[in-house]
Amino acid sequence: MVRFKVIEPYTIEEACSLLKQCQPNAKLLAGGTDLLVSIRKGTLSPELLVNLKKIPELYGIKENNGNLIIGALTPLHEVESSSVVRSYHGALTEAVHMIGSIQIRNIGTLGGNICSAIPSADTPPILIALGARAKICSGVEEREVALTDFFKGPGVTVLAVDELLKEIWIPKRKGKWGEIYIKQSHRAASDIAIVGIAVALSLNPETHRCEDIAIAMGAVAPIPLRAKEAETILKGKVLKGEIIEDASLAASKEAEPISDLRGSAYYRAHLIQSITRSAITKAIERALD
Amino acid sequence: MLSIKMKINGETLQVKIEPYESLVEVLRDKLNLTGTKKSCNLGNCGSCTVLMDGRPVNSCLVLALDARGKEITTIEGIAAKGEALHPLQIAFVEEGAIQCGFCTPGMIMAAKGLLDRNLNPNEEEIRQAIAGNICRCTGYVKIVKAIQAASYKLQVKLRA
Amino acid sequence: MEEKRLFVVGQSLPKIDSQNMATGRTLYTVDMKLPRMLYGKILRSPYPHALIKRIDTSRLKSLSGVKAVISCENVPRIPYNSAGLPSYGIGRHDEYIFDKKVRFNGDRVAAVAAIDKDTAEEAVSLINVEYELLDAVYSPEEALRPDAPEVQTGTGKNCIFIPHSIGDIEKGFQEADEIFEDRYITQPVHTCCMEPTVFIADVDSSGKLTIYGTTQIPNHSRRILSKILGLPMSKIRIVKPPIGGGFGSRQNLHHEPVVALLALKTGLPVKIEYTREEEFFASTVRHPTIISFRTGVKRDGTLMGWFVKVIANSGAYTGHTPILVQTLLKKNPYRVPNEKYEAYCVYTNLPNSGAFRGYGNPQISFARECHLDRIANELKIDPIEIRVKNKLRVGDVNPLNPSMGWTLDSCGLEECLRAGAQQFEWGKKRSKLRDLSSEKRGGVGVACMMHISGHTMSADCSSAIIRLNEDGTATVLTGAADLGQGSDTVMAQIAAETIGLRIEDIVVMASDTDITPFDMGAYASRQTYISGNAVKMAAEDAKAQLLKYASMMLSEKEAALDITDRWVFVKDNPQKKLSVADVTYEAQYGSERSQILGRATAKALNNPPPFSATFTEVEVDTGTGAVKVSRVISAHDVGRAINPKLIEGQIEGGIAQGIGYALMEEIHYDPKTGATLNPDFFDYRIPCSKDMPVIETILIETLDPTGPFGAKGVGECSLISVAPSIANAVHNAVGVRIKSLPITPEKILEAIRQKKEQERQ
Repeated sequence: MVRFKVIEPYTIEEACSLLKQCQPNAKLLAGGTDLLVSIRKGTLSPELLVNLKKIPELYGIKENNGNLIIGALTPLHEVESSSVVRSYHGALTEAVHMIGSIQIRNIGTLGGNICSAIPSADTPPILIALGARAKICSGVEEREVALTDFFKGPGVTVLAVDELLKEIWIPKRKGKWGEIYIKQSHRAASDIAIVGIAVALSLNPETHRCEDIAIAMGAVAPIPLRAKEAETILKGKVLKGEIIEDASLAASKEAEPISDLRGSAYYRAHLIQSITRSAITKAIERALD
Repeated sequence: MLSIKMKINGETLQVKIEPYESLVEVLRDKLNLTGTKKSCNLGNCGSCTVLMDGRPVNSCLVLALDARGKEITTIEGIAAKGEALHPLQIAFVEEGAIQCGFCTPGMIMAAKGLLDRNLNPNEEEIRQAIAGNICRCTGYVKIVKAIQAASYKLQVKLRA
Repeated sequence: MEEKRLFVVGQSLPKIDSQNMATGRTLYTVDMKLPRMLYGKILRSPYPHALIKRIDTSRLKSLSGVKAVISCENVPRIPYNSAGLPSYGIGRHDEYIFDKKVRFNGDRVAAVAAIDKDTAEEAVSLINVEYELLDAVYSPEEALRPDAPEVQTGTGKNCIFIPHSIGDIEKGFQEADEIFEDRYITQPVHTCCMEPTVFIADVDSSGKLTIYGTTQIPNHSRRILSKILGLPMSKIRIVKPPIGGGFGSRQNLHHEPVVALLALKTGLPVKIEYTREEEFFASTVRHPTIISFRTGVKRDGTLMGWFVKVIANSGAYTGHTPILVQTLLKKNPYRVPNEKYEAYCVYTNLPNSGAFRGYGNPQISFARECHLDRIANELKIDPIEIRVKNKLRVGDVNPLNPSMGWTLDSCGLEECLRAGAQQFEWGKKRSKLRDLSSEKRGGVGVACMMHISGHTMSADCSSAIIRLNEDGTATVLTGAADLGQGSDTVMAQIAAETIGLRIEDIVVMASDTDITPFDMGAYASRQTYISGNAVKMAAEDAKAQLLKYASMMLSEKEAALDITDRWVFVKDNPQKKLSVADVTYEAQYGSERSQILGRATAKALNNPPPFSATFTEVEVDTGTGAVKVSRVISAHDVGRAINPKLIEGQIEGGIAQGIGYALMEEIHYDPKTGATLNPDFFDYRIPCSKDMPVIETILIETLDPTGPFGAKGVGECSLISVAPSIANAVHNAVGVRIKSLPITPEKILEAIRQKKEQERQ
């Protein structure tokens, strides 16, 4: 039993300064669905939790200048059921729906799903594919990084000791735009990904050539990865059988999967190829729909 | 030790808690509301499901202090005033949805969370709503039937 | 047999205890608190194999609130076997409350009792243990090598060898047209009862011990405890409160002796509850096995003989293993004139293997039913027909208890197969051409099983008492242990039907060794058949006494009377009647002043095997290897359905466990430390609501002449043939045979790849 203390700041500044003062024994508490599990399992034993729930500016879903903005502390169920989120990015709604159980999504937060930096997390791949940016705040200063650059390793992010994730900004997409997140897991629900692949692409309305594409992969490396080779193969092309096949193979070669209880590296490499193929195909279908 | 206020099953209580205590521990050990079960203590089984402000949550993953000022509903508090059982509880008994009964309180709370929002769910929605609740006895067949039966009864009641 | 109209038996009545469960009022052992109760915690070995050189508890002195510490240094070393079975026939006694040696990662080393859970946890962490590490062995094949580290000695190093044969296997092979050989592997899985294993021991000032907890076998527990604690049975009371699941893992003594000793030492009640993590290694797992079949068959599919070799990983201790491997081959639904059998119970440095729904039958049935499917395929015989051709028939020697000379009085295997096939549309689905261009391929499979209705090899028994109250209601005292399967309800139905009462007139008092009569416990699918017979006989005894008083009151012969729905009436003149309440009142307060007490001991007159056939439809994704089970039909010969809805519930739940066993459940051990790598519901996956297919159950009633109202066992059956039916359906879908459980997507993809490679060559 870890007998931690909990402190409840009312502003981001306060939270950040407390966090800094109490390093290395303090942790930020958002929903707690990852943190409390790590504490119970003994992988983390912080002395102090800085509970963020009293900071109103960390909550909510907004729009600004064609951007969808989601506060880091917004519970996953709110993201999942938001009509604004759905109107911007249906694939994000779908990805959030695939996380854990309803009970978990009622407590867990979007920021937590990102900042825990668990390699198999479901929202990072789709957010990266959608070009999301992280607004990071230290209380005094704010900075912004592309979410694709946010992760450094399992449980490690670019956040400095006195920083927290404030918001996620996701640009709106127009035209022949298709996006999808496909998750392969052992159970049909309440499970984590063996492999999760997100694809977002836009097609030229006349030629149907691929104008823009992002492929992001989860559970294939210590951090969520962009499949840049695969993207290069597809960009500017009319997306058909053989090219999709080549890109899927490239994606599986770009990944650095490990072997664990959910599957061997060999199996994961196969899955990446197979799921990337399905994800590209479905994203095209959606773009043309 | 902190002293916090929570509304539990309609009654506002002042409870003394430790900051590291989870809601399920406080419910079971301090308030003797042992209807809520603890089975995995890691948010993977749903046995400890209660409603917090109307939404099903794993009470093992909620710090008791985060329940401050919230409305908590447990299995002991769902029957309407003057009635012994909630329609879901009746349906679980009648449909044979209960074997060992250990998952039942959490299962019923998850089902209530669903029916309170969607009185007429389809089978897929029911299965989704209880996907975080493990039952080792029933194979879920009669649990799904019981939720369907309760949904029907509640709809009839609403129309009447 | 003349069919008497039944009023209560055969009805799908709600479980009599379920309302309290629905409202959260049921008090399970985990929910119980006694005044001044202490909390205990067990210190467990972090090593797979080691000698304990020294246990230093001096640091506990600085911690307030610790009331007792026990370990091998202050506890008598008396050997026992923790398997919940009658004392005869159990192999070795090689377990101790605490030993000087630990044999698996997680083995018990010491225990403390303290004023609260946190203090107990902290206290355990302050105990210093000095170990001398020994080499460890985990795989049974390695443990059988001469140079392997020694875990235990049975008939040989690390092994108990059990051979068995019927007929002449060489003759069987000579007479066969073809010989088939296959080897199958099954994995360790856990029952995952939702209520963790928990015991509370209380002791009174006379030294009388009461233990409440999660057990399926109160009487066996009391007998074993009496021996290892050196107390007469009158000083030990075991109570099984409502329990959150059993499924076999509680057919075992767990930490009852630990809480008992801590209570005796402190004079206070002590509770020890396992964490979910502990549950996975400190209780028991299903035996992992390696099973090979070498089978001789005629071209028409007639089985001529088989040589079966079973290697069962027992874990660190003997427990159930010798009994399990001896009984598993007998659970065979086919005529096989020549059998040779070799079983190896092998000791390794892994957690104890024990009972789990099916008791060896899921393992052997997976092997046998997949093997038969292959034989049928290669001989171009329909998988149903090869089973029908070889099935046991009424009048055959009952293979379960050969020494008893019993014959088979009922066998509904063919009915199960035919009824299931029809509802499943087997012929149409089996012959359907597969679309080989599609990434998703459908397939269908079938598998059968035969199980038991009580103790295999020896005769079973149970007793019951029925007490009639003066208002005509009754209390049934039974040792049968309700684990959620509904035995209390079934006993109430049998009693009500037999006496002529309604179910609401019956109170069932069960599983309390100071109050209820002897019963072996909840295992071997025996409660309805054995305990049910005891309740039926006790009810008949009570009814005879009722009729005696009624005959005096009505001035009619006893034989002229009967009882239905609370009324005693004259059979030829039903208008002439008395209420049961009037009779019981008269008996109690009239001139006789005698309470009506029915009692009986039922000794098994047979062990009628229940049979079943499971039909499964799957869809295999050849891109990901994932298997989706879309439909399962399970047809069961249950003898008589005392409560059809409860039986459906047993079947549906067993199918869920069977799907878990087939596709996703597996305990993994660290190959270096023997530690359990996935002791939680996150990495050990149990099927959830969305993994379940459409399930249809078919009940075939063959009315066994020795069963209560014709009933046979049912509890374990439904799990048994699920895995082979899925494996056979996967083969039907994609043409590969996965011979090791679980059938993971990875194994399927690899098998498909290998098959393609072979085809290319």
